This record gives sequence, C-alpha cells and structure tokens, in this order.
Amino acid sequence: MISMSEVIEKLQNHLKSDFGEGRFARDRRIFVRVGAGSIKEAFRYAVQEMGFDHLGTITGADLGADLEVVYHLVERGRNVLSLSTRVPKEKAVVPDVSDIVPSAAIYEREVRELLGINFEGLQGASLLLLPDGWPDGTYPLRKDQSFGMLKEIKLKKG
Amino acid sequence: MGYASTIKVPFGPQHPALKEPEHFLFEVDGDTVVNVTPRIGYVHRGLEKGFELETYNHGLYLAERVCGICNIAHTVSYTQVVEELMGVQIPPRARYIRTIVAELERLQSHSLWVGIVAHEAGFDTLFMYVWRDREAIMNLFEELTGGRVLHAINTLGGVRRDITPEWETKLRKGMDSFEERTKDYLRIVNSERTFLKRTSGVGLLSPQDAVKLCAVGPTLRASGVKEDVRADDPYIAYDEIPFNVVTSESGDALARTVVRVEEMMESIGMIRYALDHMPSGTIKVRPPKIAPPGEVLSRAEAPRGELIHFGRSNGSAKPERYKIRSPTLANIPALCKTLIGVHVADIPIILAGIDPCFSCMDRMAIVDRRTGEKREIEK
Repeated sequence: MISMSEVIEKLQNHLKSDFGEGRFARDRRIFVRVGAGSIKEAFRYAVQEMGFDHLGTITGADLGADLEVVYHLVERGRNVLSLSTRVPKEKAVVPDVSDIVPSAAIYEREVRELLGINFEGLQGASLLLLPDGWPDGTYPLRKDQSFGMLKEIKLKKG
Repeated sequence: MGYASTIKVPFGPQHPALKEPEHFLFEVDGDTVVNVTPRIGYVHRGLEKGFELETYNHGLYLAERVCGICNIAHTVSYTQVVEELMGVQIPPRARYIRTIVAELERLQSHSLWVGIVAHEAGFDTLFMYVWRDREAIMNLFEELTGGRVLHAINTLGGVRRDITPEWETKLRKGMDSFEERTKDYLRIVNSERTFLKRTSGVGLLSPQDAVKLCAVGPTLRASGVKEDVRADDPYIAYDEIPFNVVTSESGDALARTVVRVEEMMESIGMIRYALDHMPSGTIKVRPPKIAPPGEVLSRAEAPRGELIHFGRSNGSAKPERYKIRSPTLANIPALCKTLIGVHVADIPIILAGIDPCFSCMDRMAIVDRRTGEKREIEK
C-alpha cells in the first residue's frame, strides 16, 4: 500500500504540466484534478500501475460554465482516489475508459444521460435510465433544469 | 453452434422472478442464454436532484427513502457525508448504536434474501420459516425506533433514541434464539439435497471476473475475494469490533447463500460485542445548519455490498451535488456476465443471487411521471 502523498507525487511526475491539483482530505481519501487531455492516461496509470483497480463509480457535476467528471477509484490497499477533470459545456467530451475497466460503461451511460457529457468511444446509444422517447438535449441533473421544467417534458411517441 | 437461430426473450419490467420492475432482454439459443441486455430506470424518482433542493436536514429524510430494506445503510452514509462536511464528531455511544442497528439491518436484509432464494429454488418451507424469524427482528426494530421498516434512528450529529436496559435484554434474548435458527439454516443450505442440486454450480462467477467487473459485497466474497468495507475502510465503530470477513471459494448460487448466512452469524457476534463494550454518555450533538465548501466521499458496507455516497457543499445550507451509487448497480456488469451460458430455468435464482434492490439503484432522474408529479421532493 502506497501512502497518499506518494499517490499524488507519482501522478504529478507522470502527468507533468497536465496535473491540476492534489490533496488528501482525511485518511484514505485522495482528490486529484487533472487536465481533460490527460484524464484517460491518468485513469489508466492509476488503475494499471498504482493498483486502484476497483472503480467505485463515476460522478458528473454541473459547475456552471463547466461540467466535471469524477472517477472514484478504490485501491485494494483501501485508499480511495477521486480523479476529476473539467470540460466546457459547449464541448463536453471526455474519452471512454471502459476498455480499461469494463464496468465503467454503465456509469458513463448514467453520466451521459443525466448531464450530457459525451464519452468518446462509448458503445451503444440506447438509453439506460431515462424513459424511451426522452427529448434530446434535456439533461435532468444540469442546474438549468428545474423540477418544474422536468415535469412538463413530453415523451416522444414511437 | 451459431447464433443464427437465437430468439429474444424479454424479462420484465413485470415478471415472476423479481418483485421489482427491471427489464432484461435475453437472447437464447435453444435453452441457453447467449446474451443479456439490462434496461434499468423504471423506478427513478429524481432523488439526486431532490437533495440539491432542500437543506441538509431535509436530505436525511430523502436518504432514508432511497431504499426500504437498507435504509440504515443509506442514513449512515448520508450522516457520515454531512457530518464530515460540517466537521461534526458524533459521541462514541452514538457510533455504537449506529453499528448495532446497521448489523440488525443486515440480519433482517439477509434473512429476507435467504427467504427469496429459498422461494426461487422451490423450497417454500424454508422461505416461510426464515421470514417468520425475521419478524422478531422487525419487532425489535419497532420497539427501539418506532418503525418496522423505516427506522429514522440516525440523525445529523448522532442518533435519535438511546438503547434502554430493557431493550438490551430483549435484544440479547432475540439474538440467542436467532442464532439457534441461523445455525439451523446454515445446516439446511449446506445439506438439503434439493437445495444443493438447485444452487451448487449454478451461476458461476470467477474471482478474476468478479474483480475485473468491480463486483461488490456478498457477490464478490462468494467468489473468494476477501473484501468488505467494514474491515478495509472502517466507519462508525467497525474499527473497534472484531469480526471475520466471510468468503467462499465456489462462486455459485450456493456460495452466495452460504456467505450471507455465515455473515448473519458474524453480525450476531458483532451485536453482542457492541452491547458488551457500549460506551456511556450522550447520543447526540447539535450540528450546525450550514456546511463550509468541501467534498466528501463515504463508503459503507450495505447488506448488498459497497455503498458510495458523495457530497459536495458550497457553503450554504443545501448541498451543491449529492451522488449515490448503490451496490446493485455495481453488481449489474458481473450479473450479466454470470447469466451468459446458463439455462433459462436458472435465470431467476441467478438474478436473485446479487440480492438486487432496484429502488436503490434507480434514483437520479424524474422518470416515472405519475409519481414524479406528486413526490415530496417537488419544489
């Protein structure tokens, strides 16, 4: 089991200038933000070379102008690394990581449907959570969608 | 053998195998499943959005209602996230009470599941017996918390009710008789020939696949992987209470049953230990109303496996973002893998094998427009 500061140091050395910031909140909880260009490499490095091979989940968040994707990775030595990156709303695309961790696909589909972040390379366009006929471009977890607006949504027939 | 002659068999959302709505599209070649596509979301209620609309205190009620069967796991996680965001330390006695109710919940949930699996295996007598004994736990819960199913025992800053000496005596007596019954169930599931025929070697999941597909909880442990959040990433009082992480090597439906029944035995021991070592003192501190900006990730071992809550605060009285990942969703990829190659007749018992809880899994968006329009989460 490597220490929390080592995890941050290793990622920093590996990613160089694309490393954003790293901190640990308390025991076993590490938060690292990296540039969108290196998120897949950071993910692969953490999974394959640092032993963070259990993907807990992927969280998406609306930050206003940007959207954020957070990968919660659990090490078999029990540290939890929350690896995040930000992408602008108009170009919300991050690479798909399900070729590295297969179960990522189900969480990526969830984030894609609820927040409209596209995962480049993710197979299949069918809906996982939202009902069939859900209008394109309506993402329920975005901050500009209120409950009132979501209530008015008419599902497409067919 | 090509797949030219496969047919597609839709399973659900309403079907005889599960008590909750979920859709699986099975592609079968003769009697063998060759592919399966899950479609979830039938009971989405928009809870994650709901958390953003109300205060931290309101969120507690919402967290309680993510799932009926494992509501304590959800409130333990929610209170942990919010207390860490607010910087609140709960009193030791409250930590112990939370641990006792969390283990009681595991007993109640696992016995519910053993009943369901017995039913799916065509062993309804066992189902009736287990559910009868489960009533005793529900009654203990009712007496302590006032509620049989939703307990509302955890609150921000501690717990709502203290354990009285009278209740403790009842709990100890209840555990004694429940232990006897559980030993009996363990003997039955390990020796009853019909049950063994129905479960042994059915729905195999190799340890490699379980790890690769990020399975969690008893599903993972039944494949021989020794992982349990209570031991690996201890929370509430689990770092002070000794217990064994139960695993089984065979990775089949039988292993998933045995692991759960043995976990019930462990839980009984943990409850006794917690009662013996119960700290005295207050059970609650007063939490602040707002949380400074920050983010917290909480992991807990719900009866079905690793439960993740992730909260982010912005300095106000309401969370900025709240995310829940229930164990059932994490086990779906492993479940789909397990289902490939099995006989159609084995589908129900394998589906039941992960102890699926779909209302936990489906939460994030308003999908069901009928209920969505009249829920309390509306603004």
